[in-house]
Amino acid sequence: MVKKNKQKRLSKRVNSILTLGIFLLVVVVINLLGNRYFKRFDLTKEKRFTLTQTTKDLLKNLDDIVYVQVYLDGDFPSGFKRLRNGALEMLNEFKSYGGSNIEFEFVNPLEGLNEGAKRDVIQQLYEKGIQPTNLKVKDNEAYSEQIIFPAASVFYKGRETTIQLLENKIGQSPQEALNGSIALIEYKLAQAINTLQTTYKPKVALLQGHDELKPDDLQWMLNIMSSYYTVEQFDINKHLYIPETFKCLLIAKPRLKFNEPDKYKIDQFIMNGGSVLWLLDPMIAELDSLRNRDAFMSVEYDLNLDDMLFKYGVRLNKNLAQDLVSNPIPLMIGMQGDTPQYDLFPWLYYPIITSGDQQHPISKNLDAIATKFVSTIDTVKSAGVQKTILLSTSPYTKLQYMPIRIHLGAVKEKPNRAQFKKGKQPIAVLLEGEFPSVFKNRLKPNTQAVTDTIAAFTNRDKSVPGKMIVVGDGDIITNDRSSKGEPFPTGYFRSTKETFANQQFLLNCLEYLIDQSGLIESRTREVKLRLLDQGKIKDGKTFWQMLNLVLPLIGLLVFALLYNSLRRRRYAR
Amino acid sequence: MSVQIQNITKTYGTQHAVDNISFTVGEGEIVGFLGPNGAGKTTTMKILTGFIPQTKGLAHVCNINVSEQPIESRKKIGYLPEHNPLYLDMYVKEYLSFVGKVHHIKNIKNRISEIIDLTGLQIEQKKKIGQLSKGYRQRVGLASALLHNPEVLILDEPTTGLDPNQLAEIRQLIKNLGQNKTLIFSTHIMQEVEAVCDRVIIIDKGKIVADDKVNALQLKGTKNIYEVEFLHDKENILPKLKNIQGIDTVHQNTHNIYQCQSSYDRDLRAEIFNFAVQNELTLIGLSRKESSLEDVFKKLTQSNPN
Amino acid sequence: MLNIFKKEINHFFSSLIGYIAVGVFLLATGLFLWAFPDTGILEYGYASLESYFYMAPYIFMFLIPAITMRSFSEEYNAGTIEILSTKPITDNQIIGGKFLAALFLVFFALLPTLLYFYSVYQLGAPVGNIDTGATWGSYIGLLFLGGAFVAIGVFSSAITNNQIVAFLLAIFLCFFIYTGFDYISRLNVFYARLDAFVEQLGIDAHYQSIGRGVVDTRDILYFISLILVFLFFTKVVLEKRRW
Repeated sequence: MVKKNKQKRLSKRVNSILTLGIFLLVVVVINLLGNRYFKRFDLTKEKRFTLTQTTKDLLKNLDDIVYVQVYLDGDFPSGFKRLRNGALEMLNEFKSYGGSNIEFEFVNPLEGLNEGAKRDVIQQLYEKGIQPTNLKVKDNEAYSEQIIFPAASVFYKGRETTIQLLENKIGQSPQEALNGSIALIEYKLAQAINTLQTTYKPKVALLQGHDELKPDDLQWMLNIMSSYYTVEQFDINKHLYIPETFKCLLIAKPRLKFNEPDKYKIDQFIMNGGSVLWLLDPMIAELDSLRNRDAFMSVEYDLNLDDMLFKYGVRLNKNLAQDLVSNPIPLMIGMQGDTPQYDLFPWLYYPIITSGDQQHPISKNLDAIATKFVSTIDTVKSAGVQKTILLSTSPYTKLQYMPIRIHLGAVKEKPNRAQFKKGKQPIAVLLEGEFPSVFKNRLKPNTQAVTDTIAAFTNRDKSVPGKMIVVGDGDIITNDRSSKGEPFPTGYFRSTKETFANQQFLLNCLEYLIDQSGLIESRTREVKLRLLDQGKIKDGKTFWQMLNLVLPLIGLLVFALLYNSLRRRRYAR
Repeated sequence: MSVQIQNITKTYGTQHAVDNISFTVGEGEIVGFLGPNGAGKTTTMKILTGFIPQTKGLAHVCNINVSEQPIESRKKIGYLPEHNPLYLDMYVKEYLSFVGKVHHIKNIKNRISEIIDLTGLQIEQKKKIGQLSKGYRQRVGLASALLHNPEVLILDEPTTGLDPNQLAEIRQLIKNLGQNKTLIFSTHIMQEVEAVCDRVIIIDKGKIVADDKVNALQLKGTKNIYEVEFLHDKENILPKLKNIQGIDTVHQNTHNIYQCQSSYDRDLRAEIFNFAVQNELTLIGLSRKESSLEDVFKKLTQSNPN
Repeated sequence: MLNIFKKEINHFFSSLIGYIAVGVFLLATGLFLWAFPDTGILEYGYASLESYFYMAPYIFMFLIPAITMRSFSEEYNAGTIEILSTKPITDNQIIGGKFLAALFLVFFALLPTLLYFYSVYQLGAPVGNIDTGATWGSYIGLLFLGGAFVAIGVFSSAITNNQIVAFLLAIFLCFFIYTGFDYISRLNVFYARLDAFVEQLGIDAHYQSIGRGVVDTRDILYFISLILVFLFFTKVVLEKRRW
C-alpha cells in the first residue's frame, strides 16, 4: 500500500511537472508564432517608425522584382544583429507594400571561403563601394578579427546599386550609431530602389574653365555619383549658356577669375531653376606649399564671385578658420637609416566638422566631415531667399584674416585656448527660394546678343524657385590616392586612416539639390527637436519643482485621510 | 448524508497523518471530534473543507465530492479553522461583508446584523478585529462561518485559549448553533463533548478508535471505580480483592491503596466492606466514582501503542 | 475575483506601509526629475519624459516588491490563507485578484506622475510640444513592465511566509529578469551565437521597444507571456504548499 501511495504521489508530481512543461511549451510556441505574425502600432507623432507615403507609393508602383541582398548573415555581436533585424523588419515592411515585387536574402559573403577567396570577395565588394567593418572579437583571452559587411546590394532590371547600412559617427556611442543607422534603413533602401527605377539619370555639370578640380582629383566621388547621375565636364568657355538639361552645376574649387559672361551664364542657369553646388576656396592655401618652405603667406584667389554670392544671400569671408577640433598632419621628425620618420602633429587649419544641422535632411545623422583650409560664410539679407546653415565649425574656433602667414612651426606651439572663442562658424549654407539676378538693372555681358537668338534661353531677373549650397572649402570633394594610384574614398584621411563622411554629405547635397522624388525627406525622420521653454523655466522653476514634487505627495496624503475616514464612517459607525 | 468520509488517507512523506479512516455524519448530528494533538483531527477537517487534498479515499459533503467539485462543496460548509485566523486590521462589519460577498449572499446588510445578533457581537461590532478580545474574535470567526447559512459547520478547536467565562459562552453558542445544522467540531476537552455532542469520534495516530453515541461510549467498558484504603498492608490482598464478584481489575496505587474497576452498575461498596471484615483488615477509606468519557478516551488512546 | 481585488486594495489603503511605498516612489521620482540637476528634466532641456521612463524601471524594482511582498506571505503568516482557500473561490481567482489589485496599485502610484506630463506639456516651446503619442506608448510600456514585476512579486510572495524574504527575492528576480539577460548575453559563451536570443528573454529590450512609442504585438505578447508564466508558477507553488 505504501508503494501504491508513493506511485500516486509520484504521478501527482509528474503530473504537475507535465502541466508546467506543457504550459511553458505552449507559451514558447505562441511566442514563436507571434514573432512571425505581428503588427506594430506607431504612436509617435511623426510616425517615426512607419514608412513614409513616398516610400509606400514607390513600392506600390514597382513594375518588376527588386532583389535585395544583405551581406549581414552569420554570427556577430548583438548590436549588428539589431542592425540586421532592423533591415529584416524594414524589408518585411517593404514586402507588405511591394508584395511579390520585393525579394530579399541575407548572405554571408565570406562563408566557407579560404583566405585567398576571401580577399577576392573583399576586393570585389570594395570596388562596389562596400567597405568592410573590422570587429575585434575576444575569444578566450585572445583577440581575433572578424570582417563583416554592414551593406546591401539592390538589383532591379539587371542594374545594381549598393547601400552602406552602418553610419558611424564620431563621438557617438556604438548604440547611438546603430540606432541612427537603423533609422536610416528605410531611406537608403527606398533611395536605392528609386535610383534603379529611374532609367534616366539626372545630368550634373562639372564646371571647367577656371582651373577647377579635374575629374582625376575627385575620381572616387565621380564613381559614386555615376550610379545616380550622369556627370559631364562642362567647359563654360565653349558654351554660350548652360542648358537646362543639367539639373545641377558642380563648381569645385575654381582658382581663376570668372569673367562677366561666365557669371552671366551661371546666373541665368540659376534664374531658370538650375541648382549649384559651390565648393569654393577663397584663399590660396595648400599644404604642398610647405613642402620646401617653413611658411607662406595665404592671400585670396581673385574669383570675382563676391557680388554674385552676395546677391544670392551669402558672403564668403576672406579668412581661414582654425579649430581646436581638427585633423593632424604627418611631419618628418628625422631619419632612421634611410627611412624618414613621421609623426602626427595637430594642424588647426584642418577642422573636423561635427556640428551639422540636426534638423535638416542633408546633415541629419551625418558623421563628421574633414575639411582643409576652410573659410567661413556669412549670410546676408536677400529677399525671398531662405538660408539654412548646414555645417559649422566647433565652438573653439579662431578666425584669421588676410594676409595670413601659415607656418609649420605652429604645430609645436600650444594653442592659446583663450583665442579660440569665435564660436561656431558657418562653413556650409543652403540657400533656397527665388534668387535675384546679379545682372538685374545692369548692363548684360555681350553674350546676351547671342542668347537672345536662342529660343531655349530666357533672360530672367528673378529666378524660379531654386536651390544652391555654398561650402567654404573646395578640398572637401577630393580624394587621396594610394601609392599604386588607386583612389581612396572621398573623406578618407590617409595619415589617421579614418574615413570621414564627406562622400555622404556631398551625395546628400546633390540629392537635395536635384531630388524630385521627395525621398530625401525620409532622412529627416526622428528629427523634430522638442525643447522646453527656457524662459518659462527661468521664471517659474521653483513653481514647477514644487508642483511636481509636492503636489503628488499632498494628493496622496489627502487621499489617505479621505479614504480612511470614509472607511471608518462606513464600518465603525 | 451530510458528511461522508471513505477510506481517507493522508500521508506526508512516509508518515500517515490520517490512515484509512471512514465515517459518516447524518443531517443535524452534532459530532465531537476527539483526539490528542497530532492525531489527525485537523488534517481530516482540512480535507473536508478542501484546503488540502487527500492522498487517497473519498470525501463527500452533502453528497458532493470535495475533490471534484471543491467550489460547490465549499458553499455547503461553514468553517472555523484552528487558531481562528482573521484579518486583524479589518473592521468587524468590513470582514463580514467581505465574506458575505465571497459567498454571494443577497441582502447582505440584514444578514450581517442578524448574524451579529446571533453571535452576540453587538457591543463590539464597530471595532477593528485586532482590537477585540479572544472570545469576541472567536465570535467573529463563528459569525463568518455561519454567515452564508451553511448546511455543515466544521469548527476546529473553537474553544482553545479561551478563559473559563468565554469558554462557557462559546460552548453555549455552539450548542445553540448546532440545533439545526450538521456540526463537526474538534476538541481535546472531554467535558465539551459531553456537554455539547450527541456523538463522538475519537481518533488517535490517524486512526479512528471509537465512534459512538456519547452515552453509549460512557457505558462502554469500565463503569465504576472504587478506591480502597486499608490501615495496614497485608500479603495477597490484591488477588483476593479480585475475587470479589463484579471486580474486573485491581491496581495497587501505593502499598495500602488499591483501585478496583468494575463493569457492574451495582454498587459494590458493601461487598468490599465485608471483604475487609472477613480478612481482618482495617478499612479507613472507600470511595466510588463513575467513570467519565475522559477515562474512556485515556483508555482508548493509551492502549493503542502503535 | 472582484472581491479579492477589492479586499486587497482596501487592505493596502488602510495600512501605513502602502502609503509609505507610494509616497517614497513619488518622492524619489519627483526628486530625480525635478530637483536633482544631473537627472532633471528642466536641466535636460528637452520636452520629453525620457529620463522618467528610463529611471522608472529601477524605482519599480523597489516599489513593486514593496507592494506585492505581503500578498501571500502575510496570508500564510496569519493563517488567513486557509480562510480564502476554503471559500467558494478558485486559486485562479485568488491569484488573479491579488495580481490585478497590485497592478491597480502600481497604476495608482503612476497616476500622479501624469502631472509631470502636464508640466512638460505646459513648459514646451511652444506649449504642447511633446510627442504625446510616444509618451502614451511609454506609459503603456511602463504598465506592462509593472505587470511583469507584479507577477514576479506575487510569485516571490507565494514562496515564503516571510515578507522580507519575499521583498528581497522579488527585487532580485525583477533586476535579474530586467537587465540580467542583457548582461548574460554579453558573455563569451553566447557571443555571436545566442546573444540576441538571450537578450530578447530579458525585459529591457522589450520595454525599450515599446518605450519608443511603437506598440508591437511581439512585445505585448512577451509581457503577457512573462506575466502568465509567473502567475502559473504562483499557482503551482500555492498548490504545492498544501500537499
